[in-house]
Amino acid sequence: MNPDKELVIQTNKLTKYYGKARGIIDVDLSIQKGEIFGFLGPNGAGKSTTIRTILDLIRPTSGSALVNGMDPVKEGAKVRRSVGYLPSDFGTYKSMTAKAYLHTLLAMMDYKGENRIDELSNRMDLDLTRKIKEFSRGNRQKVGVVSAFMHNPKLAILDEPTTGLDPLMQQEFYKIVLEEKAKGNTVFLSSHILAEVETICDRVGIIRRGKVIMVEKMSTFKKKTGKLLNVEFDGKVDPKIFMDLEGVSQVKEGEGNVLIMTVTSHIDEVIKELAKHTVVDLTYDEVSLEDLFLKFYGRENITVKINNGKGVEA
Amino acid sequence: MGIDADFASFDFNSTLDEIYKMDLTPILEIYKGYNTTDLDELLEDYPFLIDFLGGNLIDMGVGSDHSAFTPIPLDGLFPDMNLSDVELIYFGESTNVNFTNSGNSKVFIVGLIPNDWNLTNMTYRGPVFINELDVGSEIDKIMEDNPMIKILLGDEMVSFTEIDGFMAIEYFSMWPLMLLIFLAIKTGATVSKHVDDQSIDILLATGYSRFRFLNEKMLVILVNMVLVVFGAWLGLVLGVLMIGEPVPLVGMTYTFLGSIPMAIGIIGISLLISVRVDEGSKTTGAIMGVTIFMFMIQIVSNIAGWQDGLGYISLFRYYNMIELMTSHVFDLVNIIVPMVVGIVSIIGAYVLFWKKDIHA
Repeated sequence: MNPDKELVIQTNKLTKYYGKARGIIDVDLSIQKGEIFGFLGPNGAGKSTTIRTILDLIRPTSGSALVNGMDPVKEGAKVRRSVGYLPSDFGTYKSMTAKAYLHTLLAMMDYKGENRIDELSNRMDLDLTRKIKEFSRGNRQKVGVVSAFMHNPKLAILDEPTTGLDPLMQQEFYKIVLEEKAKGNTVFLSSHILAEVETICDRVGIIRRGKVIMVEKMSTFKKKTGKLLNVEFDGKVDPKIFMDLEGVSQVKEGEGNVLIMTVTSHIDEVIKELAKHTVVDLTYDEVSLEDLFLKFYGRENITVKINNGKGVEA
Repeated sequence: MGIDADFASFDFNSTLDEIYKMDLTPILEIYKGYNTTDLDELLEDYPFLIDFLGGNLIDMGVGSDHSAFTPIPLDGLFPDMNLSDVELIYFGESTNVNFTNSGNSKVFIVGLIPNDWNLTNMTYRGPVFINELDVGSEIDKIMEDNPMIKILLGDEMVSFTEIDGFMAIEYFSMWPLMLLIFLAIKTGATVSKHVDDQSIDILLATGYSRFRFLNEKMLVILVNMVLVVFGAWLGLVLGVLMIGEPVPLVGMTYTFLGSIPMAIGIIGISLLISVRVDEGSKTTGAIMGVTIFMFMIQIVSNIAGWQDGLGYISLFRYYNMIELMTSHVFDLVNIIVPMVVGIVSIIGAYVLFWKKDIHA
């Protein structure tokens, strides 16, 4: 694979099998310098396997990757040193204080530059003087966030970074990520929360069952996905009235006098049409990943939730 | 130091009739050094002697169904052998037997004489008990004077009444097991601990290569090994000084240094298991299982006479504490075999770790 200076991560048919079990299959990704790339997929789709393979924590079965122009298999240590990495779940030296732990990591990195431990800890409301074993899951995640950015990496690879963070801290985290972009740095983050990716990412890649099924600019992606408008009327309303509106891609009848429509744009026209009727209740929600897959890829091989939430193959 | 006792108890497998039919069969006891001896107590004090006695001592219970036996000088009985200092003090079959010491005995051995009465094929079954002898000189002299004793004893001879003999039994019999278990557990945690507590991701994320990770872990283990060996040596030296005994410094140093190849062996095996089985409890279980298995193999081999067969697979085989303590000689085989096992295993662990998928 030829290195492209504008790409900080390149993968070429990157494949990983665990024995006969599927990890990832023919993953092709090109992450551009200075962008925030969201890697979206349900649990078990292969997000972490992709990340761990490009960081040489997992050895690929076939295919190749370049990170900052380096082959992870040949230069795994250099690759890892060149990025800020936040694993999806990670262990720490729990008997240390957060401050001692973070400084130990810096020492192990042999990082001599100015660090951002204090600044990031303040922003994440992290008490550096407490021992890590005293921290809640959320506070430990804050330690991980600080460790990923404390040494000013040009590329941050974050595996489900907002897990355990409360909404306020999630917002602060988004700000930090957007600031990284403003500095010209690159952030590759995985998530299974569509709204999170939509909030901060420039581009999104969707991985499902080990295969990347779509990579789009966020603006294009948003147009395709839309939002779900769930409206309950006081009487029967003909769905065709809304189907003809621009920006409404799908209308379904729900139980009672409910219409469920997918709105991709021109919400104003929908509201004006709604105003002609008596609305009893209304919700306007993000499309779930399951709905998204149903919409784009049909029901084939889709996992649906039935039996009290236990997933079964539909 | 001595044994305060008043009788010896034996059980031999042959019946008295069988013994008589075999003419002069199967027991020869040479007893010197004490007026009376309680073998039962002796074995309780020095359990490792049971290895020497094998299965022939079944019931060491107190009591006697034989009256005291007066030692009979054997000199002249076998013209080809110098038995001038050898006395037969019991000959026959019994569960318990009392015997009276001639008063000047220094060595005590039990031997099973083969049917053809060829003493060179005699099976050694007895403990050695030498009182207040200089192990390096007087035993040699006794051996020279009594070739049969050498045949019976082979090289396995140590004075239990001297500090080095005491250490060989009380201390060094447990030392290999303690050292190997410590190092096995310590090494076993090398990789599995970090995978188990998910800290390996962060460690490697700091830019550590897999090689560097293992190198530094190995360095820590080797330092631990040196500290433990040196610490144990120092502790024993101080302990011996505190009880006012002369310190057999050279023998002790040989004995501790001689345990290092065996330690390298277990470090290698444990590292290999740690890399392969990276789940904390399973790793510890596997490593402890291997260590105890090797220890048991060594014991069973000693009892069953498998030293030249199954016994080879036990690392404990390659540590001869008595030889190190008394002869001050490193056996090349005992150095090379465990070192090769250790180094090959370490190389295997590195290769395996190089290919390994790290799942935190």
